Amino acid sequence: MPHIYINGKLYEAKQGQTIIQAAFENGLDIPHFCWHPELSVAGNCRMCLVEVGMAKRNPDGSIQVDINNHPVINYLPKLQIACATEIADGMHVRTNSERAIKAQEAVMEFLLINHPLDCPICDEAGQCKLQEYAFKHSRGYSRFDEEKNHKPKRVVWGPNVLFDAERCISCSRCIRFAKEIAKQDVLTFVQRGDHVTIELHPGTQFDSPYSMNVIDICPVGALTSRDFRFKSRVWDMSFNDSICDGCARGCNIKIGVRNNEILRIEPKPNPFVNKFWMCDYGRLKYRYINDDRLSSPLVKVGDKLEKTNWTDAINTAVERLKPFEAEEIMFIGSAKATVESNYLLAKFAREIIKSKNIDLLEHYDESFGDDFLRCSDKTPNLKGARLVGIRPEAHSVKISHLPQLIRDGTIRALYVIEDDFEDFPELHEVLVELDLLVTHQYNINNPLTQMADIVFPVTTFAESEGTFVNIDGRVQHFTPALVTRNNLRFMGMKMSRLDKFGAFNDRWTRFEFRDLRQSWEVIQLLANKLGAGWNYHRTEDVFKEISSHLDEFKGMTYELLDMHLGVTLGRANNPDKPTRIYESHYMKPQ
Amino acid sequence: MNRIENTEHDRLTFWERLYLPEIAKGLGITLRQMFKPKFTRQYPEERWEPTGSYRGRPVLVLDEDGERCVACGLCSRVCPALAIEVQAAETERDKERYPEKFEINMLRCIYCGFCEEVCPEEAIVMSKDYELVFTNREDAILGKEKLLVPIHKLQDRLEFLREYK
Repeated sequence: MPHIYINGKLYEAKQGQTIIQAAFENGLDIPHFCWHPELSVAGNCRMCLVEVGMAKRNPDGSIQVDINNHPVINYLPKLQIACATEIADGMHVRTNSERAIKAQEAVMEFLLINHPLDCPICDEAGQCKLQEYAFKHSRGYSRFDEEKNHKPKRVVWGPNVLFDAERCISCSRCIRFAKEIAKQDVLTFVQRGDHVTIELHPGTQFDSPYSMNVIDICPVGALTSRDFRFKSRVWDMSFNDSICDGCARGCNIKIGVRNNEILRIEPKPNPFVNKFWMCDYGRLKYRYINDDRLSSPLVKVGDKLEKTNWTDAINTAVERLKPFEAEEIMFIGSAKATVESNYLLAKFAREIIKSKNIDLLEHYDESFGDDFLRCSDKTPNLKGARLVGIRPEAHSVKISHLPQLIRDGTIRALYVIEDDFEDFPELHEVLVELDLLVTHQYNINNPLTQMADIVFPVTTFAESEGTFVNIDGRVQHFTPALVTRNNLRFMGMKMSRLDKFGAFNDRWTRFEFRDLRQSWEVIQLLANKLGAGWNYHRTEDVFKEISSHLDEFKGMTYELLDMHLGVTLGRANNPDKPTRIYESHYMKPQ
Repeated sequence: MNRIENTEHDRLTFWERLYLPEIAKGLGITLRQMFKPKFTRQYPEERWEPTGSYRGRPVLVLDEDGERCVACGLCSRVCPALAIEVQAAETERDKERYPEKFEINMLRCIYCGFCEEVCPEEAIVMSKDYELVFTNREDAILGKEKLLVPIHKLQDRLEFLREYK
């Protein structure tokens, strides 16, 4: 294994690595704009210039030393770019020498010559790599007196991406992303010198399902999101980690929230699942969490749903469920709900109600899946729900027989958690023939909410703690990003400055404070009303029971899941070891 | 020795200790003041006009071509009392954004002037307005309609800033 010296210290590296990679793996950051671990090396920003040299040798091959017994090093007369220079055994690299620092400052000065410095109106401000480096690696003043170049602004690249050519520093990350990752090679440099800009090929647009990733990798504010444009400054938002619920891939995400409203979703790097990317569908799917939400339980009185409190709703549900035979009730779990909620639903059905009728709906869309991240299974937790017991047994009712059985009158009551029947019209039609429909829902205008007799408002993934099992069987833990009346004091939730110091009478703190519970909490309330005597205080208690009962989950704890960025089923004793994760530029904690 | 020094007895002269001559002296001062010019301001009728250096209620500058503010949010970020709330939106103008909502909570404002100092557009300045009375909390939150002030009324402050900022 080759060794290199960086700033006089010895580091191990791997054969074939470039200097910047070796430095990164050893915990050192060499300033760079165009290099990205998942993209090819372009070497055109020149920010990573370093001094490279080898030790001088005597004619007999031994290393020459000076009077202090230090090796004499022959540095190359010109500086080299660390992102494209391969390492060699015994190589000496200097990143903080006077020459290297001068070169970095010179590059920054050139980049800033034609940069408009319009940070006050730029969405990237606060999480901008150029801004960050202007502090770290620049002189802090400009010697440029002439007129700056003017280039097109507000160029529409596609349905989700907007391009501002003046801010662009021509690092070509977006061009390489489009070609190599999104496989939609429509971007290219045009013109030369300081007139260089990026254009779409005539007649095309950048509408790949992964197009919005270029916004994240763009080191400046040249590429901005049309959806998020000017909605908020990043330093007013809190970013909590979560898991995307768009499909079975389970991409790791960060949820950007201000005033308890989701404003944007961005990927969180996880080398084992989504690397640095996620699809536009997952990013823009958050609207159902912000709008049209239930805020208290509803019970149907006559023909209308009326608001009620939790105690009354639970009592009504228990009373209405009691007259039915166990075999007349069907439980429908959900691939959208957490492992914990599904586990308790299965336990409730089998042990308390003693009904075997338990199944779930599978939402497949073959046109959605592709060979990169998107899966045709459009629910985040199908595997997990099946594993913890949401599956029909030999003689019980399957979902495919359900419409017929409801029509026959064999199934008279339905208990549905966190799902809707929009993809299953034949099931939706027969719902009117049911005697009782109890459901856990997020939204008011969901057709199932409107038809139900009792509706429990429950948290979406953004307000819950729990785990999802993705398509590869990776169990991933997530925590709330939004507050409800019940998770208000959730430990470890990241808060923005406004959240921390806002008072009750500030306008921005007066968001709707929804009285939501997680599905497993609702089920526990029902079960205890029926005399079960369950005693789960936190989601973790449910997960502990799952991990002690089911072989696949054996040995897993939330701590272990967080530490290893998720653990594959059955591999709790041998989880993946995450190495240092690259983050190009990001919002610093408040 | 526990001798107490510098007592009143030590400080006063003989004539002062006599008391009556000092009373007469005091009355003499009072009598003299009655014939000197008066400085009391008859406040509500007679208002005080501060100079440009005065930090009164922060206001937004309304230029000839509209408001100057681009809703960058720096005033809101720097405000130590979290008094300012800004919501940006897009416009067709050259400077792409404008404040859709700009509110200053005058109950929170401490008149430090940081917002004015940090503003990259010289769009928020401290005015000479010092009569700030509200009858309820909602009224104390000033929106854009109350904050925008034509530039000619703010010339003093702008000149002061140009000279000393």
